[in-house]
Amino acid sequence: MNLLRAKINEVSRSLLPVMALVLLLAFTLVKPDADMIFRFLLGAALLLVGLAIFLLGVDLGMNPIGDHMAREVATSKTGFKVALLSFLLGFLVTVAEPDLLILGNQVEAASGGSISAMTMVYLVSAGVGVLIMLGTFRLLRGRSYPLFMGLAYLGIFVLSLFVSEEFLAISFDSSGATTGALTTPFILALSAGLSRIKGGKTSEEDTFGMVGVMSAGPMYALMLMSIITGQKSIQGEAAAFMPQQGILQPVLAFLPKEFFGSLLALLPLSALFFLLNAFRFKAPWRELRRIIKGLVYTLIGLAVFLTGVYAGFLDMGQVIGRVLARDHSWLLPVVGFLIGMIVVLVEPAVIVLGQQIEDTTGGRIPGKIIKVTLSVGVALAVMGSMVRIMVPEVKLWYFLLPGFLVAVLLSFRADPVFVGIAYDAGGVASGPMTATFVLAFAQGAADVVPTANVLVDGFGVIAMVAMAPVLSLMIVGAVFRRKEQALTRKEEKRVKEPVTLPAGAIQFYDCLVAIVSRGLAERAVEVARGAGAGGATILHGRGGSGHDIKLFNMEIQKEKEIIFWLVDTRVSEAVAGSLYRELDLGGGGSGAVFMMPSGAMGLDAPVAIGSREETPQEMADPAHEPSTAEDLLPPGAEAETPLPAEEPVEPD
Amino acid sequence: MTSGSCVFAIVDRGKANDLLHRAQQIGARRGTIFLGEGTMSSRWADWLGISQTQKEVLLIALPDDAVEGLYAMMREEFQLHKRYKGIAFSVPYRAFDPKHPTGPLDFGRMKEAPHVCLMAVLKRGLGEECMAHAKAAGARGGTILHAHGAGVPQDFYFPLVIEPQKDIVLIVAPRETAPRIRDTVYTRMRLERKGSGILFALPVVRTLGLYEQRQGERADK
Repeated sequence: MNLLRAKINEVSRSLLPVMALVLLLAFTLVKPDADMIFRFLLGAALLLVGLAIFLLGVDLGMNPIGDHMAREVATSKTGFKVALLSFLLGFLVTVAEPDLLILGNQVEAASGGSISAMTMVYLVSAGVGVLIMLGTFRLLRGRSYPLFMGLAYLGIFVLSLFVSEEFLAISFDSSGATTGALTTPFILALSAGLSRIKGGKTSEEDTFGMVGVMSAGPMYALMLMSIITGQKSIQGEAAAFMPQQGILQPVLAFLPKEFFGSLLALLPLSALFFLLNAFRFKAPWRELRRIIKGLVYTLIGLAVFLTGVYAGFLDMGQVIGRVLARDHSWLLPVVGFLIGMIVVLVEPAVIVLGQQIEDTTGGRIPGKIIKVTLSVGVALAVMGSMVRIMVPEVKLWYFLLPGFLVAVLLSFRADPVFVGIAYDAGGVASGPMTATFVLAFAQGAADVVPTANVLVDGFGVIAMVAMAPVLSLMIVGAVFRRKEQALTRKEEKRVKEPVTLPAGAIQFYDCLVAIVSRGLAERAVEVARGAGAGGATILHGRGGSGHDIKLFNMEIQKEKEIIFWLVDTRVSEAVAGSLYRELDLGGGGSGAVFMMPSGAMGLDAPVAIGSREETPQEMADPAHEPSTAEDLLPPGAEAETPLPAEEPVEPD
Repeated sequence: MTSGSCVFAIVDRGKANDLLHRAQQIGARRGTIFLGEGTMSSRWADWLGISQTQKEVLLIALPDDAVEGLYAMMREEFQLHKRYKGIAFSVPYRAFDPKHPTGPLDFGRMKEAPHVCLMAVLKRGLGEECMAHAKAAGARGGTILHAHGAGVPQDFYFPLVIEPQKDIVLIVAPRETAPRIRDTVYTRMRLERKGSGILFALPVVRTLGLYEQRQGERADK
């Protein structure tokens, strides 16, 4: 139960403030009818359960699928296959997104049928496919991410000069629609998989950023469409506000609809996975069963979650927006700020991103810091949108242009991990909660304010929510980088002392452990190999040494890599010595190397002094096949040394 | 501080930081934390696929005279001796520090080690299967860590260095049952095949919060 309970805990921590705020507003200022309050409570309960199950499903199903897919892409032998597969993944994961179809229908109606809904859906999906493809090449080739995104946004800026403000807003909305509850976790898992496989120094920062890349796709697709077809304006009316009736009916009406929508959205990707599994992955049954369970959880969880959101939150948002705009319009920015601040934390993708950040950085960057920054960003975005609704002179691009400009410029000076996270955050924050509750709130307000345009101002909210967290996280990333550099300079000042090695040989296996700063593991493995150690296993952790960076009163610890070797005890001193010297593991908090006694099975062969030129095969020794199981345990068995006596030091 | 104990504490996610802070107050210089996954035994949680628990592993190396205080702290403030609160154990270690060279480890102490920490390094994804076999052979629980091996250059379209993904399974067992677990894991996971994984053991000189210990305490009452 623990895992599910952990998810429920996590979700309820973010949901409770939302409920508190909404209920407070409902009882003091807004006073909706009782049905609506009950519907809201029911919706919140569904949201809680649905989201928890969904998150579980992402862990069990989506992440492994993303991992397998990433492996398949990265281990391609031709560039064509990389291109095809990554394009296909981007296309398939987007094409079935229900929100996108809804948007397509709106555009079709507004354009008088000259652009069909399906054309738009295919165009946007192709846009996502192309960008995922480019992003994959960028990642695997190791090109600069800030530069890539800078160019992508430069292109968007140039195109935006040729389209109307309505279309600009719709483009941002479509990008919000494609980075939905389902696509975002999958793309996160995919890029995490790719970067893990690619490995190396940049593997951590490469984990993030693909969602940001992806969200540029729909914008390109739609703006190009607008320019080519000459479709400039969208006149449609936002659907008239029709409050739902009853308490249970809306739930019962939404559930089957959301279920089929979610099923449809999951199908293409699952089909591709099972197809590839049959021919390529051939995952063991145990794992496959797990993935299937995960997919079922994802489906059920998503359907229940969306039902809760639509049945309970949509109306409530509308009514709060309307009543506040009518009676207390000066409160709109304040309430907008609060709503933005807490609602974003219930976005499924935000929770998934938070987890991924903790996993990838070994817990170094607490998910909390990201969430706080994200909250503040979205809060300011919603507040800005309210101001824009109230004051028609304030245009959307007053916010978007400087916001993105500063973000892009900062991205070259910010901590690389934060850069990826920041660009991702834009897509991540504009998920289903924003698209329903926050959007409904804004549209409700815009409906009442006479000078506001429901369509433009409503869509503008999503554009703002997509921009603000990018900026806020970029700022934090830049601050973090500065602090980090200051700390490094301080550490470099410490005097390095020369080291002499003691001689000594013990007849044992040693479990040699080195703890080094993140990124140095590769070097350490090399050094150790040069000194006679064999294969290594690398763990990813974080360390505290009293020199931690503080940010908002939260600690950011240093990231560490822990490397394990099993080394013949006669070499371990030499290996440890090389590591100590080459990687400077003696000083302050920078690292350590130590040994623990052990016995081992399943090793190719122990590596002996002076034999580093020999391959493990040459050194394979029957004495170390399973029969030596006894010398593993108990540790007191050191009398029969694990080393064959006839393995001499043989210089050639 | 060149010879002493390397203390492993396995606690719920989020607690390792507090524990490390307290440990630093009572003399540990530094510690390293990594994320792991625990397992719990419940058939229907297993069926639902949710039997995993999120853990953190904290590794602190400290001199022997400070160990006592650390254990007392973990017991009193983090209640590690109670159920579901986590476990801790220590392995003798020797730091490599040329400034204070030491002799070999005290093997006499190891001979009496009451527990053994088995560590299996396997392909990613096989950790749970390994746990299942270990449990069948008498292990009470274990922790899975995600690690990766050192890179090997490959012949793909991109000049990638593939880092093979690994699961490390960490099981602490009494000396008496450990050989059985070790043999079962070794044979069932087919570790005799090259490249399928390795298995090694570290002597554990002190533990806190193990299932067997709790059983003993219950009997005492």
